[in-house]
Amino acid sequence: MTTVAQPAARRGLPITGLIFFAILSTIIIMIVAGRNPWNEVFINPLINVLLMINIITFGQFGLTIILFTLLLRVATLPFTIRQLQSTKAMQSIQPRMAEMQKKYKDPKRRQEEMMKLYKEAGINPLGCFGPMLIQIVVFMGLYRALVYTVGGSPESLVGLSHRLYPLGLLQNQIPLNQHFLWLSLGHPDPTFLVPLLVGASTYTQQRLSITPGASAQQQQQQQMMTWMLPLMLMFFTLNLPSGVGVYWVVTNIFSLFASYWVYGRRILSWKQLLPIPIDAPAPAARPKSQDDDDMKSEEVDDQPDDDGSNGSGGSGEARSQYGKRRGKRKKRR
Amino acid sequence: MGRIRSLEKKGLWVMLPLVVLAIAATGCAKVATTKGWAQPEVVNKVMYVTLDKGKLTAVDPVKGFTKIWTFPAADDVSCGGGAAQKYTLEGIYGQPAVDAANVYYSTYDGAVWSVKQSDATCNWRVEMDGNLVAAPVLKGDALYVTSTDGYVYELDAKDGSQKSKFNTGEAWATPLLTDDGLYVATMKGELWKLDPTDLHNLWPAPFKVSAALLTPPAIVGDNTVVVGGIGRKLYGVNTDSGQQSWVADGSNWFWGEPAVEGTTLYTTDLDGQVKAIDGTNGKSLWATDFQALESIRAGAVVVGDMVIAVDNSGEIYRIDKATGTQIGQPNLLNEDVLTRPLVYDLTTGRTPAPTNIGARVVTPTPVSGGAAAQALATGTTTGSPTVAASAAPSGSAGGDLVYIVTQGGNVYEFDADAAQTKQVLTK
Repeated sequence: MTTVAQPAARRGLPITGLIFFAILSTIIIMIVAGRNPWNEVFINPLINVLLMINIITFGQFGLTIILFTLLLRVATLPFTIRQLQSTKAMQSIQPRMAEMQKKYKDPKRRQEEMMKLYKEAGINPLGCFGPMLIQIVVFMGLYRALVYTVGGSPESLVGLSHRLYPLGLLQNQIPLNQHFLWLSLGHPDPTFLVPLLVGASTYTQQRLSITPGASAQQQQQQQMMTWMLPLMLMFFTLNLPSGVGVYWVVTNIFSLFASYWVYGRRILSWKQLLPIPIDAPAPAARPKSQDDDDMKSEEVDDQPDDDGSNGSGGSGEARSQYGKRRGKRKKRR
Repeated sequence: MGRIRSLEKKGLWVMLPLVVLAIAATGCAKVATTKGWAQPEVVNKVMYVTLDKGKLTAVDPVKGFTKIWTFPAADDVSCGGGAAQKYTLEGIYGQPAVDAANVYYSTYDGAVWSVKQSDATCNWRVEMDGNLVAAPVLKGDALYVTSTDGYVYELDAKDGSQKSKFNTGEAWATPLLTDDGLYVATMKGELWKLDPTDLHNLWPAPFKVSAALLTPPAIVGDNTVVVGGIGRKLYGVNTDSGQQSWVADGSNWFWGEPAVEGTTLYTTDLDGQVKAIDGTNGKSLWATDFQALESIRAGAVVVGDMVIAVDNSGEIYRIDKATGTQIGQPNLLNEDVLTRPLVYDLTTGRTPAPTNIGARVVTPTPVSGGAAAQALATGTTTGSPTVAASAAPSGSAGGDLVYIVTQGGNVYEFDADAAQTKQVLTK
C-alpha cells in the first residue's frame, strides 16, 4: 500500500481556511465588543513592535523602520520568492503564450489553453498579489503608526497613550527621536529626495517584473503600471511622513536583491530599466509539424465535440498534460 | 475560467488596492494636523482665545463675545514695521501671556509672537529651533520659552531678543515660575529648578524619572512641586532639595494641568480618571476615583464645591469636590475638547483661583483672586503676569462660569450650578 502525497496546495488549504476563520472570528468579536479590529489586530501591535525594535536600535527610529522592514521582508520571503519564481516562469512560457494568442481567436478557448499552460508551469496567475497586498497593508499601517508615534503633532501623541501596551520599557521610548539623517520621520521630506527614491526604486522594481512578450493588451497594462505605480507612490510620499517613504525604499531595495537572487545577472541589464518595450525571448525553434497544422485546424473548427467538450477535447488529466497530450496524438497517428 | 479572465484585468486588480491606499492616505491626513489646544486668557475683560489654527482672537465677553480682532488677519504679516511676510501658521498650544499692552504667544512651528492688545499690530516675531508646545511665561520684561530643541530661553519681552538660555532637554510642559525659581519638566523625564535671573540650575541635579514628564509643574502646600507624565505616575518633589517626596499611581498618562486648592490636587489622566490627591503625601482623598467615559487631556478646574472635567469627546462632568461622585448627568458638547477650561466671572471680570495651577507666576503676597486678577477687576494693569497666587482662596463666586474651547474652534459657556451649556462663540 502506498501513500499518495497530497498536493501542497491541498495540504495548505485547511490551514489557510483555519487562519481565515480565526481572523474573521476575531474581527467579528471585536466589532461586537465595540473595538476597532484594524487598530487592535494591526495598528496597535505594529506600534508596539516598532517601539520594541526601537529599544534595540538605541532609540534611532529611522534605523527602527529599516530594521522592521527587513524583518518583515525576511518573514515574508517565501511569498516573495514564490512571486518572483512565478514571474520567471511566466516569462519562460511567454513564447508559447504568444503562439496561443495567435492561434486561438476565441477568447474562451484561449483562456482555457492559457490556464492549462499555467497549471503545467506551476503558475498561480494571482499569486503576485499576495506579497503586494502585504506590502500595501503594511504601508498603510505604518503610515498610521508613524502618525501616532512621530506624527509631528501633540494631538497624535494623545492618541498614542491607548495604543501602547502597559510596559515601562515601551512607555519610556516616548517621545521617539524622529530625526534620521536629514529627515524628520513624522513629516514629509522637504528635499523631495525620499519621494524621488521611492519613485525610482518602484520604477526599477516594476521594470524588472515586466513579463516580456506578453500580449499587446498586457504589455499596455504593464507599461501603464510601470509608470502609474511609481508616480502614485511618489505623489503619496510627498505628503506622507518621510518614515513611510523610508519603508518603501528599503522594501524595494530588498525586492531588488530578491530579484537578483531569483533572476541572476539579468537584473544587471540596463536595457531592462529603459522605458522601452521589452522583447520576448525568441521562441525555441521548433520544426513545423503536423501538430501545428492540427492546432490550426482545431482553431478553425473550434466547435464542441460530440462529448460536449470543445475542440481541444480530452479529459482534465489530458488538459494538464499539454506536452504529453501532443505526444499521445502523434502516437495515435 | 473567471480566474483567467481576471488575469486579463490584472491592471484593475492592481489599481484597486492603490485606490484604497489613496483614500486611506488622504482621509487620514488630518490626524497629523496641529490644531492646538491653548487655554484662553482673560485680561482687562478681554478674552484671548484661539479659534483657528495659529490665530489668536480677542473677544469682548461682556458685550456678547463680540470679536475685537483676529491676528493675523491676512496671510502676509508685517512685524516691527518690517516687510510683510507670509507664514505657515501652526497650532497654538500654550495659553497666551498678557502684560499691560501686549499679548505674547507661541506657535508649534517655533515662533514666538508679540502683538499689541489695542490693535493687533505685530511688535515682533522670533523663531526658535524646535517646536513650541509650552506656553510662554512672562515676568516683567522677561519672557521664558521652552522648546523641543532642548533649551529654555529667556527673551526680552520688548523686542524678542535672547537674553540667556539653558539646556534642560526637550520640554512640552509649560514651566512654572515662582518667586522661588523656574520649574521646567522635560520629555527626558527630568524636572529642573532654574534661577530665572540667569537660568542656572538651583538643585544639585535635576529630579529624574524614566518616562517623559508632560504636566506643567504645580506647587502644592509649602514645599512640594508636582509633576506627572507618560510613566502613569505623579511625583511630589521637594522644592528645596529636588528629592522625591511621594509618588502616586495613575491608570494612564498624566497630561492635563492639575487643579490645586490648598494642599489638594485634582488630576486627570488619559484613561479618563479624575483623582483628588493629598499634596503632602500623595494619598488619594476620594474613596473611588472618578471615571469619565473617555480620555481627559485637558486639566480639571474647580468651581465652588465642584471639580469640572471635560473629556476628549466633549462630555462635561461635575464632580463633588469632597467625595468624587458625579453630580447629575454629564453635558455633551458633541465636539472634541483637548483644551483646559477657563473659569471666569463675567460680572467682575475675575478669573478666580485656583488658576495658579501650572501657574505662570506666584506672587509673594497673594490677594483674593491673585494680583493680576485684582488688577483686572480694577481695570489697572501692573505689567506683571496674569495669574493668581497659589495660596489664593478658591474661586467659588456664584458668577463663575466655565468657558470651554473645542477643537472645532467653538467656545461654550458652562454654568456649573445650572448644568447648562451655551455656545457663545463660533469659529
